[in-house]
Amino acid sequence: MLLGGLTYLCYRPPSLRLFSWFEAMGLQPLVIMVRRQAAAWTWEPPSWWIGSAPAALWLLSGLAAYAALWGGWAPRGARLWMGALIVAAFAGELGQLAFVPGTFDPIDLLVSVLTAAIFLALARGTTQAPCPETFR
Amino acid sequence: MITRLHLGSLAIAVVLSVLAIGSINDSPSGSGDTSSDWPSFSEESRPRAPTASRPPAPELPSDAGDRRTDLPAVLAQLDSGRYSDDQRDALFERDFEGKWFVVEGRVTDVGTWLGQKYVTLSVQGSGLCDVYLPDDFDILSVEVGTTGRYVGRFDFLGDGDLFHRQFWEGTRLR
Repeated sequence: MLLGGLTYLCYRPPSLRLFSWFEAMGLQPLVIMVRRQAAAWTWEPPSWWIGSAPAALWLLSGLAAYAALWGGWAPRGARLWMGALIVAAFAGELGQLAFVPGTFDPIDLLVSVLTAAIFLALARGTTQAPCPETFR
Repeated sequence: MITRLHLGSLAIAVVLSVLAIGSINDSPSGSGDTSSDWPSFSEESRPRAPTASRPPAPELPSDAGDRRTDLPAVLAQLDSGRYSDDQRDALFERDFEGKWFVVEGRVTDVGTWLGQKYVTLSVQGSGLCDVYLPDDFDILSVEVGTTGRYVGRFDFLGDGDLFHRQFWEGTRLR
């Protein structure tokens, strides 16, 4: 989440709503300082990272937070919330074709699908074999 | 216990929602621009080590001078209503596709599409035009709400919100 947030903070255009909030909270000088620092670096992340990675990191952070809260993906409640988050992420991206503000990019959608798939595959792998103590 | 977990999940959902709302572009149409108070860090202020290796901006072809025309005039001709859709497509293919034109308008969006950076311009009388630039550019140097002037090869005659009128190999003029 921190990585995605920093990408937004440093490299996205300031017309995002987030920047109005920073302004309202009096954080504009701090944010400008961070952006100036980022602009001074000789290295800049590739455009696909700036464009697509924050959404994927947002989804990954949410899934990880739910897994941490519920102690894995297996409980029904965890699946419910994770499923809702995945649906919201996909709907938000696809909704940009119609009513959601923003520009639809198939790469964003692909990256989100891959993120969800990899996370669920890893979560399944780590929780598939039950600990023998469970059945004592 | 379960209720507490659901409340915790709800809190996570709220935080994620706030972050998602914050990532919405506040001025997608270019009106009500909120970015005016934010400085842009232009290409000039970025000390890049490999400046010499940056690819040069594409040059106009030698015959571009004759054909370079302002886009609104061209599109007004295509949108005059005198042509059927088929005739319009044929006309575009014959006379405009691949030709170089100047496009000037208000920047409404800057982003990436399939990994390539673009600038969307709202051109008076011509709707939205996407300009894709082959040479890398600093996204922060292009501010939503400002005026942009580009020259580009007219690649695709689109319609509607998703497929704007598109340019490829555009060059920023100012």
